[in-house]
Amino acid sequence: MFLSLIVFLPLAGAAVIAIFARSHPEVAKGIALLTTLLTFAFSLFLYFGFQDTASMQFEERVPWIPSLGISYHLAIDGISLFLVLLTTFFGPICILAAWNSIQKNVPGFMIAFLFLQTGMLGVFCSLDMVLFYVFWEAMLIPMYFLIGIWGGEKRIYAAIKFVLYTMAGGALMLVAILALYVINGKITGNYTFNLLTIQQNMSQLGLSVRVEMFLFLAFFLSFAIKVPLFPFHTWLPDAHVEAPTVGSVILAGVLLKMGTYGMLRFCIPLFPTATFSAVPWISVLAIIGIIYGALVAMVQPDLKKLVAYSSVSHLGFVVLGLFALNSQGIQGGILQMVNHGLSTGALFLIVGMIYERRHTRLIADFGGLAKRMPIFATIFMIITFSSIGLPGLNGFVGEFLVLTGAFLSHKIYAVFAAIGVILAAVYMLWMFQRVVFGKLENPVNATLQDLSIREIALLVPVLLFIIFIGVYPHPFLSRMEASVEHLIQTVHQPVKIQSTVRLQEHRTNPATASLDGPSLSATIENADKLAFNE
Amino acid sequence: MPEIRWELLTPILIMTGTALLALVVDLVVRSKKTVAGVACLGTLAMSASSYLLLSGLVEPQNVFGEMMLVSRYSLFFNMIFGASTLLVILISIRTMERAHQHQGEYYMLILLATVGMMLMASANELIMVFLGLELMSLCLYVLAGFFPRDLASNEAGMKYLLLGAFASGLFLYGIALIYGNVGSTNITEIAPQLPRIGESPFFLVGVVLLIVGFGFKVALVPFHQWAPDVYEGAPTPVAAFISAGPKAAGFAAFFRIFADALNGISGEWLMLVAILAALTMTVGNVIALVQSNIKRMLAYSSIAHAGYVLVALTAANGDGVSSAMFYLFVYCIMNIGAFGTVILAETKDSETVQIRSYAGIGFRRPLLGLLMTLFMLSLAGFPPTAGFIAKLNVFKSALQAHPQLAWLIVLAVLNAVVSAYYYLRLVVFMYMREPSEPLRFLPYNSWSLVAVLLSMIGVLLIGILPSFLMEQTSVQLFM
Repeated sequence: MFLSLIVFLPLAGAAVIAIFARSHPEVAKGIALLTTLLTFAFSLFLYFGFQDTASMQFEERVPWIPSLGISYHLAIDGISLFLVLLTTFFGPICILAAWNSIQKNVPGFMIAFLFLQTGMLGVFCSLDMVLFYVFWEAMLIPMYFLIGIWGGEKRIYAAIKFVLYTMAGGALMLVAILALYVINGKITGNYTFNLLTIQQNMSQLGLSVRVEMFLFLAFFLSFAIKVPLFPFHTWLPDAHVEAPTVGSVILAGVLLKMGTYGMLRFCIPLFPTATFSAVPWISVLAIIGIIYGALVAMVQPDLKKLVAYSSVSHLGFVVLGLFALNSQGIQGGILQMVNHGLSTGALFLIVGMIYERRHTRLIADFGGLAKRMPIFATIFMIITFSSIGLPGLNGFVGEFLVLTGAFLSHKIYAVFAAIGVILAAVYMLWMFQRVVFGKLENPVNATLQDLSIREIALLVPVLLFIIFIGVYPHPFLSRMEASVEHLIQTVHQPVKIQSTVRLQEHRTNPATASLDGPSLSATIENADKLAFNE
Repeated sequence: MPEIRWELLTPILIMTGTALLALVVDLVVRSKKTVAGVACLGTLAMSASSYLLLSGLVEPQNVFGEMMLVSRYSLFFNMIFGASTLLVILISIRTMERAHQHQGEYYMLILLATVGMMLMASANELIMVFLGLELMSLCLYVLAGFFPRDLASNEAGMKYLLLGAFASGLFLYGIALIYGNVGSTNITEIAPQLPRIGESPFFLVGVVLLIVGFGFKVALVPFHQWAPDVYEGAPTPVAAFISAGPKAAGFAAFFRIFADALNGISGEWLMLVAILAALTMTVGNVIALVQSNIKRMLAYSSIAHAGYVLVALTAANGDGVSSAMFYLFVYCIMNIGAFGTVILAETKDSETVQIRSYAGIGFRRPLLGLLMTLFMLSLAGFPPTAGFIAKLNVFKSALQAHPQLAWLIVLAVLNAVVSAYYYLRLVVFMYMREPSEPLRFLPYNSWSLVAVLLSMIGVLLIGILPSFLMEQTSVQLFM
């Protein structure tokens, strides 16, 4: 019941607001804050009660639509744990951030936000594919309203684009889910949408290479749109720029991770063979995303757009890490999801704060803010460094692991991806310099107030985690280690069997043998060769 | 003299009795709401008796000789008709009060049309299907043209009559050709003879003519042209009625004949049905994108929904039929709910039919906005509404039966994405745009509100806990 409590507590809060506080904005805010705080508090028990094993924990399973084999099945493992925590962590922060900036129809905003939170938590906890899809799609509706009602000038266009892009991906995923259900049912006789059962049966299903590839692509496309992976990213800048601050924070902080999480939960473990043959393509797209996102970010005059494109770049790192398919890459990828959530979420908060003061987001309108707003400038600096990946802050740990993972699987990918690290420093530092340093030329900026207590209060927790993960990532990595190892094993199992014959041929090839010891990376190398040979 | 077995006919008898009673009550009472009340009670009694029979019935039962077959299938369709007729009567009260004329006749026509639908769903004879179809259609022609002073309503009635009569002719011709080959009009007689006549060109022409006839009645592309004009011109509650029950009835007979009697030669018609489904979904959704009148938009949307139901027919097995029954139930509720919300949105002078007139409704009339949003989301197939489960169920059974028709499923889900655009456009207007002129709404009409709230409860309840309804739809073929 514990996971259900966490997932549905925000929805209950939304219901309370809808019934009792529809015309009392202040009460609605209070209820929303209380609900999100409670949800976060409960989710902390997940962290402390979590055992460092690969098994699914806090499992709940009740038949939902028995005639179709659909059950209400929630559980978390080391991979979803942190995404759940990230979601609940951002709850109170977002409510506090919206405290003064949302003026229009506050109760409605709070209801939509809480609804959204339930949707996101549900996505990270569901182990039934239909339930997953239900949360995945249901979450679109509140996000659509958040952007469409409380957004900027072109909000309607951005909201519709966001919904249609995600739905288009989701539609193909639904077909793939149904196809898996039918294939699994026909062969094993057990018609079920249970992800774990189907995952176990995958090797017996005897999918042809073509069918497996189609299914893999259907899932992957849907997640790639969500991430967004280049070239499916065009909805993201629109959505970010038009969304209200809180919408951007939750979009960057949590929503995008649903895509990378989906890859990790569905694509990789369900279709290992297809994954291996798609690795080169995906990695190349990820690297294009890293470099392209960084280059486009560099020339943005608008702060929010800059941060939005930096997201494209950062998420490219995450995808690259995940598809390195070794423990460094995947752990780095997961940690980087959290890191990106923290630092980019915080960046959007910062942008929102100066937007509230100046009603502009153009970099050219600022300059010299350090003199007027020292606290703001300090916090902004730490977050900027975190986003760049300065050692000692969280971004470094994640990026380092990702690059190590990429290097172990394919050196060349790591080389290109590293360019992105340099570019990130360029666009972030340049932006920071133009906004915060220099002369205070614009007289309007001379009247700006530094951060209020509320604003500091909502940034400090983020800062704490940014530093904590940077200095001591162990508690985070140890929680996910077992699950990641388990995932890697499931991936390499079938490929190993298939490639034994080829492996022997490759043994003679010094290029493969020279790789540093662990049979794991040798297998990857061979599997990739295999993919190329076919 | 064959045994008649009155007890199995109770639903039809109740419905016919209520129609006649409504006519008499209309003569003796002044308040026309009484007539509506009688009609509602009768419909409720019919649904209840259908449900009682349904829960007790195992094997399909022949009644009236072999003219009719009372089965779980026909009884479930009775409940679909009951639910949609009840909702339509409730949303009609306000419109009929406004019109001030022939109110009693109105309810009687609705009830008689429902009798026709019930006959179609339980028919075991092609002739009986035709009789039910005609009884239903004749009532609908009158209903569509029910406001004689309204030009659009006149046009709707006339158009519907002409095209409907044409379709009936084709349908009858199809029956004649099938009779010529089978030697009987009994539906159960067809299947055993298929090996002998299945290849006969005249028989197959008859089958195709049946598809065309049904195609007109349930508005499949390319036989759909009447639908938008009729929906737009007909009084809104009538449009709601035409879009729901009659469509379900058409499909009831369609599935009975094709998925059941003609199942043996499904190879002959499967591809045709798949192509019709693909066309219907795509054309319906794409044309709906550009509509500015909400009634026309709902007309094209209901065309598209017929396409989704047809996807279930491509499964051509019990599972497919069950999923279609589930879909039709859900579709009727949500579609009448959407039309009901249009009625609730009336202003002092007129109905609100232009989509842009919905600007700003969301915040100024929160309940109306919420209800409309919910129905739109359900029509678009968003979870956790009933529309999602219904689509999932249909797609699942079609894919399970014929994996080679996966392209149809892919097309169907992409269509759902297209449809989301126009359903959400209404939401955009309601919540994200400011009204160009001040909104002058009337207070909610309580009867319509009851109907719409009932639909809302249905849509949410079925969406979250669909198991109960799903159990009711489980049927065996050869009902």
